[in-house]
Amino acid sequence: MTNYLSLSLDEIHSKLINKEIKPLDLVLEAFDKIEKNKDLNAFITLNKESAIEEAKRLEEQKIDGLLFGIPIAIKDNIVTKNLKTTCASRMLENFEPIYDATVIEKIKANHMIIIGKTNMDEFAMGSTGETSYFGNILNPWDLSKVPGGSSSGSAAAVSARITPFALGSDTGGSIRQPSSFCGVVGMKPTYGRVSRYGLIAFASSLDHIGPITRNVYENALLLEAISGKDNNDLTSSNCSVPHYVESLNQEIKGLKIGVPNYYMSETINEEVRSKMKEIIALLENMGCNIEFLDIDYLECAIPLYQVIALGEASSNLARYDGIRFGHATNSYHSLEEFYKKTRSEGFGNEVKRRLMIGSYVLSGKNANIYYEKALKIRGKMVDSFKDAFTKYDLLIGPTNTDVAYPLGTKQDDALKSFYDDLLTIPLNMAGLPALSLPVGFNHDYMPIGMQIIGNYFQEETIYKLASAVEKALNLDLESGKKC
Amino acid sequence: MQGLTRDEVEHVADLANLVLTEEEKQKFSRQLSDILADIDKIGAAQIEEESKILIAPTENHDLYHDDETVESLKKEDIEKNANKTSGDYISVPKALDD
Amino acid sequence: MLVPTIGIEIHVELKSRAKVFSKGKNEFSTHPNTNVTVLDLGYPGTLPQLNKEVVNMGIAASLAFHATITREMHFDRKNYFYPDLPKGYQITQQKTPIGRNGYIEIEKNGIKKQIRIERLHIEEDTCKSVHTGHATLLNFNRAGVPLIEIVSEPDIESAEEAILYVEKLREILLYLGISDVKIEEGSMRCDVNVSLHEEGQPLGTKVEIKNIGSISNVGVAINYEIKRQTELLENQQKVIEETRRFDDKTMTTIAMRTKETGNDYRYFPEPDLPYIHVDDDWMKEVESKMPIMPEVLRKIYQDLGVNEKNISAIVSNKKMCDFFETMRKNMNPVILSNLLTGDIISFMNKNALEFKDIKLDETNLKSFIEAYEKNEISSKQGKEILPILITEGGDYEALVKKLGMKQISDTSSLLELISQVIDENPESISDFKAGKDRAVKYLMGQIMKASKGQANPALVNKLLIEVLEKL
Repeated sequence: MTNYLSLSLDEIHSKLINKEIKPLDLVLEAFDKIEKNKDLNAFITLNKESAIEEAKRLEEQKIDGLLFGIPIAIKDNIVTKNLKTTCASRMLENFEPIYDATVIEKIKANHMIIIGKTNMDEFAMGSTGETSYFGNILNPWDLSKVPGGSSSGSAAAVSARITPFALGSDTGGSIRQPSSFCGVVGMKPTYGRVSRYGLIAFASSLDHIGPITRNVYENALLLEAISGKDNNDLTSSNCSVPHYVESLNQEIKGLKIGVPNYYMSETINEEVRSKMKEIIALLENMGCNIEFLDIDYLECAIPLYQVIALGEASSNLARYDGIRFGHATNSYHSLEEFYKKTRSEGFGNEVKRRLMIGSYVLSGKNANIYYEKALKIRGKMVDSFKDAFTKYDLLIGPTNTDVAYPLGTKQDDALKSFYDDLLTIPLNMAGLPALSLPVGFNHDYMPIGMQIIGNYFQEETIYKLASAVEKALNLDLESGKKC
Repeated sequence: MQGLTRDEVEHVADLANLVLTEEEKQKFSRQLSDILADIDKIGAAQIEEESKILIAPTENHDLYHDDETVESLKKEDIEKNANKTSGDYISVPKALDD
Repeated sequence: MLVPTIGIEIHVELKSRAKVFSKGKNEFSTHPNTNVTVLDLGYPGTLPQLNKEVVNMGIAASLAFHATITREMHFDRKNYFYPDLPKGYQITQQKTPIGRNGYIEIEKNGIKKQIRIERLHIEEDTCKSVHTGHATLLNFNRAGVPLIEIVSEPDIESAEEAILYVEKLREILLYLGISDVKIEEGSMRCDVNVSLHEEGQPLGTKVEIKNIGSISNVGVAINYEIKRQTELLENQQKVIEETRRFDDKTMTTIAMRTKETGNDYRYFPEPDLPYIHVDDDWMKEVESKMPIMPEVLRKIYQDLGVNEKNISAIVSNKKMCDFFETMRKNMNPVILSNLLTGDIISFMNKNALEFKDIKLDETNLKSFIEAYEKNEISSKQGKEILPILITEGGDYEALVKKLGMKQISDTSSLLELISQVIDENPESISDFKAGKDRAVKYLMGQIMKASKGQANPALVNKLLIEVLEKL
């Protein structure tokens, strides 16, 4: 079996240019690797026929960019025309979208080849990859452990080098947390940087699409390819899209970096904290100025998420009624029974629980007591972040409170699973860009992720620091080599 | 906050348009109570009453489309994922009040 | 003594080209499911857009109803499950309606009364449901059609006032040109709240009536409901707070099934649509394009001296009023109003013509009215000319020439004619001198005959008497 997909993007690109390989070789290798890594359960739907067809079609075309002919995996909550998009739910088990998400149009315009749709927590609700209707996903670093979630399959696919690129989505940490658990680079860009049109909504004001890649350079390339103003998403920004790769490998001396005290508190696993301390020392050695600071209302982040994300979700998922698309029950006597059975059969437990919480927080007087107040606290938290960025270029901290843990640990603990996202949720609340970068391993050789947080639309600064740290650490991150 | 009563669980299940088994009602009642206890931190948080709400973290405002139309979806696309169709319509079980 | 308190909620479909949150065509009368986009189907992954024209219309309506425009607005989601609601929520404006605190003035027996408007807000329409034996069929053409909802304060005290209110509101919206406001076709829908209370006591329990299909049935429904509630209360029974449906077969109201979720709509701000700001410039721009409202027109026409009967006829017919407005500034408005509400409209009605079909224009109508004013044509001639101008149009002077209808009003030509006729009829002079009136009549006839009917009769009469007296 060939192993082109473990080469760097530049190497693959020059082999394509030199006609040493064809896009088809890459595509076939990706499908071989999916087969070889079947245990991971990283994919729900494979796009084999179309991918091969597209690869052959590309042979006739001029290679017009670094992403040309490169395989990519897409999280299964991003709609792809005529290619099943299930959200890992029985509800959408047979759903074939009739349009492409804006990011998919951009992926296609860059002549990347979609290999398949990746497994995930159902409707992106979960942080372990265990709520999928299609079975749980495994962590390529240790098959007894969770890959994180909800973009579990996307992170696992990149980690196992099945595809160099994947798209994920992040509502409370769903790109960054699995990226950190699987030792890959995951970016949640600024809210509005990447169009949400075609991302099946979980919580509209918190949902983001972003790239999951093997390294910082490739991450920067993919983010540039999918970013930009989209008239179909009124929350997308017309801020110009920079050539992110130009910010890589630049001097980081003099960068002012803040570390929120909350991100180094006792609740964080000790090994994770000590890794962060090493990184802080490293950065100081590299000439960065590091200070600790406080951000207001961080302790409210999880309840804020429960109120805002689940409130929005209860509304966004109301459209699944068995009428126009999705699962429909076949035994009913009334419209009401049709609705209730359709939804109860179609959704899994985690989704049901969250829809009920979301309905509760918006119900009657609760809309004021909880929801409106949450939106006010959210505003204050954002003000505090904005204030921090008047003093610092970047904020850093761990991505997660811990490393990947054994499957089944949190499955039936409704509350605990939210706490995985303790350090990632605040950036969804604020809409600030944040990247998870692998910075080492724990005693058990499980990857640890560092989170780099930038000011609005300052992804360049994040990449600048990330590439410097990546270079300084020079970690071997190919999970397959360890297994 | 007290745990959710069975009635309250049934009410939120109704709002979410879900039907629960006896077993689920018990399980969810316990789990929802845990989460709602957590959510009470919002109720307890101190904040000025007149603080402005943040609906979405975007600076975008006043974005419109012109009063122009696009072509309609074709019948086969409209009906592609539909559960039931009848003639040119998507069909649903009849609502009681109609 | 039981007193009724009535409030009305009116939904009006706006006639923008595109829908409010999608670019689907706003045309729901076409073949079912032929104006549908992925957004209208509530497809997963879709996001709403916002049609600016709908906001313009909302501003115009708010201004027309004297409401205060909300300067910073957002949308909200109203959540409930129903087959006609594709997303499971309706995008509306709960917290920040586009207009607040407006009013409509009605007039009953010459007494004016203001009915206050609590709020106006923009929202989207649902699918149109067609019910068959055991299924409901959905037509998504209507899904996402823009609506404004206009909610009155409970200032209405009778069915009669309610009808006046609805008619006035309808007239204003027709003038704005933002809706067809046809209650029978569903482009205007009235929900009525009725409660009764003893005079001097707090308000009673409110009952909402939906599904009223005509303006006159608004009155029927209210009167029925007042009667029903009165009977309940007089029999010491309670009025239940509920929603009832008007049934146009029995002309009664019937209780509707209540949902177990009640009216728990779980409103929250719509995160997919950014804030809207309406500044003074925007308001001025909309205002500058607004037509003059009927109440203002009435006043202007009164000042011009048009009689009340003509004013009512003109203002109540929007198309006639538009015609009158474009014409009146260049010609005698009183004569114009007489002609328009008389000869012109009756000819049009007889021949099934609409204002868009007629060929009268500012130039020929102006010449016609001037000739009429100066007695250059007789009213009999006018009745001959007008139909030609209406159906064929063209230049007035040329037409009159062609028909040979030009009146001779030139004194010297007329004097010449008079002396010619007098010379030919000497016996008439003696008759005149003998005091016989018929001599003048006879001579008049001869002169008109000699002029082939073109002599200005009034002028001839005057000149003839002068000439005869001098003899």
